[in-house]
Amino acid sequence: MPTALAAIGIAALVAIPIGYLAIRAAEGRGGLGAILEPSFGWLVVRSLGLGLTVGVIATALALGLAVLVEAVDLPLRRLATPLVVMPLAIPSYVAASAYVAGLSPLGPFGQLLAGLGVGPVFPEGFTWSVFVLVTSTVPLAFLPLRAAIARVDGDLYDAARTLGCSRTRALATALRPVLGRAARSGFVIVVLYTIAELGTVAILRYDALPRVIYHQFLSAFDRAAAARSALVLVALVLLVIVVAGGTSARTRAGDRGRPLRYHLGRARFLALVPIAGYVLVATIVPLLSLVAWLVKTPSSGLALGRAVTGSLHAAAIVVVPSVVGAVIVAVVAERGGRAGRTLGRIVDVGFALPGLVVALGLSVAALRAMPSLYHGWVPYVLAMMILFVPLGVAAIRGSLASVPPSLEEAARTLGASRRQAFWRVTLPIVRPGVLAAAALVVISTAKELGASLLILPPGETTLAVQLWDAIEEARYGHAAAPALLLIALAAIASFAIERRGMKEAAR
Amino acid sequence: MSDDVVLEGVTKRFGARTVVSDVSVRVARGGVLAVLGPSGSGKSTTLRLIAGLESLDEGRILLAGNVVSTPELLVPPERRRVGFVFQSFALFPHLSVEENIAFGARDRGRLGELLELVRLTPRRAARVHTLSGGEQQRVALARALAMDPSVVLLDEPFANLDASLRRHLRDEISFALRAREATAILVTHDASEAFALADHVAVMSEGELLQHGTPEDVYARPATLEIATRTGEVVRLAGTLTARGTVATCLGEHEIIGPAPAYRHVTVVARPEQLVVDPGGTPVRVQRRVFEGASTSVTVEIDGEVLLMRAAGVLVAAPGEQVPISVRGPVLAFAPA
Repeated sequence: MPTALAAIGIAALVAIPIGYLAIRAAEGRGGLGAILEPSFGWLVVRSLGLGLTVGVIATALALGLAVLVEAVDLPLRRLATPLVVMPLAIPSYVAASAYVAGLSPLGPFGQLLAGLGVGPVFPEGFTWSVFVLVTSTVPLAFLPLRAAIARVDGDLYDAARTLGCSRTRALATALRPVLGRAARSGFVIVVLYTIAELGTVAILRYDALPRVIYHQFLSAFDRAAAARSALVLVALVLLVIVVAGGTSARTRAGDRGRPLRYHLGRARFLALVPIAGYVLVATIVPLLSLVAWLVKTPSSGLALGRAVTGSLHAAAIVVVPSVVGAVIVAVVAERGGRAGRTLGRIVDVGFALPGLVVALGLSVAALRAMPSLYHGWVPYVLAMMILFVPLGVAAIRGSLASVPPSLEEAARTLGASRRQAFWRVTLPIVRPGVLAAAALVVISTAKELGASLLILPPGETTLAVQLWDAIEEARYGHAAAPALLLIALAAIASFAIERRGMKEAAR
Repeated sequence: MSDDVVLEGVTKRFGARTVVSDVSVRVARGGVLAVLGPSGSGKSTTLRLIAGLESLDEGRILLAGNVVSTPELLVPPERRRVGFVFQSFALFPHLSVEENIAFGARDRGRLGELLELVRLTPRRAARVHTLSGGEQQRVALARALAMDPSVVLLDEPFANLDASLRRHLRDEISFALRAREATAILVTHDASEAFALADHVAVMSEGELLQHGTPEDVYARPATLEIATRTGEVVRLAGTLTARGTVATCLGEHEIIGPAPAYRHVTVVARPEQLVVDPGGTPVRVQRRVFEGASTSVTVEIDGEVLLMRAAGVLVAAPGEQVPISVRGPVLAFAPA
């Protein structure tokens, strides 16, 4: 019972920021009705336009890459997937920072262009935002598409050929049934990511909703306006989810004959060109830019030390409540029947909310309900819990689902109480999941930009905040170290998760 | 009290469905009861009720003379001292063989003895996922025995094993249970398993306990046609009761086991091994014969009725030929199906 109550409490957290945003927005000039003003309409158009543009381009590119990687006899095929997925380790605001720094007059590419007689390029506005966000989000659309194609039965292609289809038509016939859903789910994930992303549009100076909210909050200090904009952003997120009919992409795993491999013949090596091109703009250019700045700024290590200790400090405070919360929610969601699953879904909502919105709502709530807490850690920890407990739950639920109820029952018949059975049997078995959850929370805390900017207690910092400050002040050398460290952290995490997945699959 | 396990009028419902209906049964100290029934007959639920993994809706359960389950009372499983061997074995994957067995052990000093009993001493430090199915089975049994249980409950203990392993493990488990003089209840859908392991058999169907007795008794004198078919292969014949209290079929006149049903036309049931080749018997036509080594299964036909018989050794008659047969011993007579 106490477990269930705790889980309900965690689920209820999600309602706090949204509720207080609604209250605060209603109090401003014009009340909630102000949302209907034309200026808001323009904001929505700008954000939605960016989201849809990035979504369409990224999904199309991802589809092409997925077909090359999974349905074609590509040379070096096994290397291709990690290369295409690598940008996942580069948060898009880090990529944006890298492009801004690299193309600045003193940056490696700025100097290269100057040497070629080309004037300085300032990566700003809609086009550059689309470009950087597409490079960052292609893997998000690529993964479901690749998984779907990997499940296609190669016999379908052969059947289509024997029934008189040309090679290309046979390929299309085999792929079509699986691609629709996978492409849609990839598209939705990209759009959701794009419209909620603050760092990238702020660094590239495109006035999408998140950037406007941030400025309303900090620069103009107009809380009611910020609250209204944040509500609009939430509505936009919900709209995308509802219109797309959820984000789950569960393709039925059918009986599978041979894998699908379309023979390209001599064009095989040509097929490497688009993959190499993508790796160049999405991974190599940003890394080169950051490394170049790091090398030519000897003093960058000092600031890094402060950012690392700051991130560790924040993570240490966030990780315990988040992981405990994740364990509780995972147990209730996995073992609590229908009510438990519903609760799990409510907690998941937090993951879809932009960090900026959650932080704004909690800061409003703290000011209202408990002003003494406003400058402390409480709103920050709650924000991180709302955002990242769902990540932890996902990591733990996987392990928990592999523990059949009969194991706990066996422990009970052997003399262990319910609680002892959990501590002696269930928890040790799901320990890898719990550790993964902790790692995810630590890394996500270091990476989260929007929420950290708004409600990190005064004097505290994280890697993401340090990077942001350095870019704002055009001290690109100081941005390079935290940026590279963030990339390294995310790369290590995804490597570890990948290996664990392989280990579990091998069992 | 000499009964270790007593069920009195036990009823369990899941929603509107009654899965165990008014079941009463006793198991004496050191006795082994097999609960036989098809899947969905409520036999596994009965086991879970005894272990305290489910609460009951009516009746009561006593373990070693203490009331442990009533509709108002549910002594939790950890305080019942029941050793449960799960169908999936439910071994703890994060623990070694020895740690699994020691999990609920009362007396750790006797672990060595238990490992010896199930012949796992050389594998004591192994991780359980490296064990074969038979070894896992034995760990599960040793783990249940290690807590010195008042009763051992085995839920389809051989269902997850190869057919070749089953027989062997059946004998081993039987030996281990008797070596410990453990009271045990075994749930199975396999009649031969039930007969081989238990000194009493309870037949369940759709939540109800249909018959309860020694294996020989249940096999030879099934109370209904359904129990007859659940406990082994049967030969069915149409029969007519005679004035002498016997029954006449196309194979002659036979004594009836137990009271005759109150019908003139009845369904006569015999076991295949009761049909024997007999020079003075009724000629039947051989349809099919399958040589099985020690015996030969033969399908014969007479007056449109198809019968299964099991002849010792080799039957010389080829399909299409006639062979004279008769029924040895008394038969069962049930109300017409």
